[in-house]
Amino acid sequence: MHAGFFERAAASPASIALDFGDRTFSYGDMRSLALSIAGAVEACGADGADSPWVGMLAGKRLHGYAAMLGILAARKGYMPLSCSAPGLRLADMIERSGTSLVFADEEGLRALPAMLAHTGRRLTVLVDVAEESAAVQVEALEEAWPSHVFRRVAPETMASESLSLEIHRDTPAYLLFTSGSTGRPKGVMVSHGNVRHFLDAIADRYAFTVADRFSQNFDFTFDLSVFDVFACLEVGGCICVPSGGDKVLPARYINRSRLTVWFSVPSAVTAMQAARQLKPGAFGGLRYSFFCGEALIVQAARVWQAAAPAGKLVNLYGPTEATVCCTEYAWSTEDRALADEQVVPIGNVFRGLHASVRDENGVAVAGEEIGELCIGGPQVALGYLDSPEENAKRFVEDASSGQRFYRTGDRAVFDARGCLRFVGRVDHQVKVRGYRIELGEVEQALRACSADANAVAVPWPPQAPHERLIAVCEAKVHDEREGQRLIGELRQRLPDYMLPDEVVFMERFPLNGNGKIDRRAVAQALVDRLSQPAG
Amino acid sequence: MENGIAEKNAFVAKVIGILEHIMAHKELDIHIEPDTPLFDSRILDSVTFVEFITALEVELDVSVPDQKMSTQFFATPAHIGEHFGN
Repeated sequence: MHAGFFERAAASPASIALDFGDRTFSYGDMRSLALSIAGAVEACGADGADSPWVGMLAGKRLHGYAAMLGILAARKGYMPLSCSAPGLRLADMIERSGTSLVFADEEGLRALPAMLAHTGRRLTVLVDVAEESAAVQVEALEEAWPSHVFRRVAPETMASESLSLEIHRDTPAYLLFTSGSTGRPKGVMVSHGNVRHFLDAIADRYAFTVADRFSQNFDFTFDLSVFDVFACLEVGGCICVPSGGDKVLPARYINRSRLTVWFSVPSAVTAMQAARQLKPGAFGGLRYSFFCGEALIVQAARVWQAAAPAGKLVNLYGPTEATVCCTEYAWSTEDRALADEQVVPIGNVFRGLHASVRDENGVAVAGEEIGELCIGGPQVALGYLDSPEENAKRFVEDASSGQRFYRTGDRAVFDARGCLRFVGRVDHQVKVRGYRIELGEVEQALRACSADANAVAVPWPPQAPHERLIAVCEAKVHDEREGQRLIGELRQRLPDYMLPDEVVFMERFPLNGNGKIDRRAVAQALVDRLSQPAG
Repeated sequence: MENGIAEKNAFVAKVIGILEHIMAHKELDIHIEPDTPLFDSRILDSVTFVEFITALEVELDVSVPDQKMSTQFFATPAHIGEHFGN
């Protein structure tokens, strides 16, 4: 998946690969740093040999992109770690991946102590002290954490001649953790072959060129960033990285960076509307706008298309387990069959993949019946890390063809046109602002912070797309201070995107016939309560 | 002139008050200075920004025209004072 970048870098090293608005880096700059990091990873062979993964505690800066490419060039898979995630969570990921090798950039070094405090493993941390403040930080860290090794990355320690771009398709490329229903995040292992198929499918459908300038809205811990980074670098395009402010008010970023390719979650459209960023014709330079990660409402598609009238608007769909995305629907204002309040279809599966809608016994349903969407073919991931039971449940073989497929847990239907439509979930996984969240994981954390009180996490509004998450806890009285204490404590356990926006207390939860908490009734009680006038 | 500066400072202090109130609601104890970068320190994200604009319009009776809905006007409390304080 990294070969395309190195080929481009060899052919036109002076081309701009990264644009931060106030600073740019060329393909050559990025290749040099990637080779330095690759050399350092290889030199740690003995330390890292026990695991196919290298942790990457780095953000959307030059070092983050170069680390991704360098780790891949060293034939290891990258495991992105969010610098803002709780230390305990990061330490658990390191532990489970079995790696003892981590690359950290400047910001990563600041996040490192919180992680080291929870890890029992002796780590080798790779750092580039050429980074402005890193040298000072490393000295302080070496003193504070003598049991870990801090190794400095040396310039281009991997010679470009020794860089081999031939790689077996089953070689692990990245390991991403997604929310897990039992309170334990699931590690999804994706191979080079998986990504190669995805990138080929994209190249097959969209005519990206060296002149294209891509948005980069997704964090590395979210697999849609693979599109932003690799689809762009393969064609020799430029990745335009938004600043913190650009993410909140993107209109100026889109035009200043002269973006031609936009990719975000659909809720970005709603947020931009609220921040008055979407004016008809505002983004005349966009050739393509892609949306993925949650339901795209027709009304949002219309507003966006009006803002970017010259570009194609595409709705993409796909779980991390089927590599970035695997179906597409090219939306058009001419699509008269769709009413404003409807959800844009997820469309058709990429060529070379297979989509089927099955009943609970794994048998394909007939005609326009609703069932569970299953994806087969070369984008189906290697599987989950250390979870044989989950693997057996989700990655299954077709009884007749023997083909391996992934059960998405998404309920879907083929409409009369043979087009896939998303209907809902078979379980309690939700998307809030485009982030995939298992309500069970949030509830587990809530119970742990509240002496095992009953708790339910409710996505809000109750109908998708959800914008917020509300925690409902069982307690005799509503106590705002306790609510705030809970959110504060949850911050130590959950990443920001999984934090409830609000805690509401309910005296007694309604139960269903089986004596279990009736989620629907809790959500309904919440609707009743929140729709009452205040006071 | 002196009065003008005092008024502007009072406006910036109110802006900081609104921002700290929004942070406290998220159980984040963040101290904000007139020159604190609001976007880089993640004080303003897409959710809190809209809350902030609403508070600015309702509590401080400021109207934010569409052409000023851009990062350079909101970089720090001091910038906000400069562009929206009367």
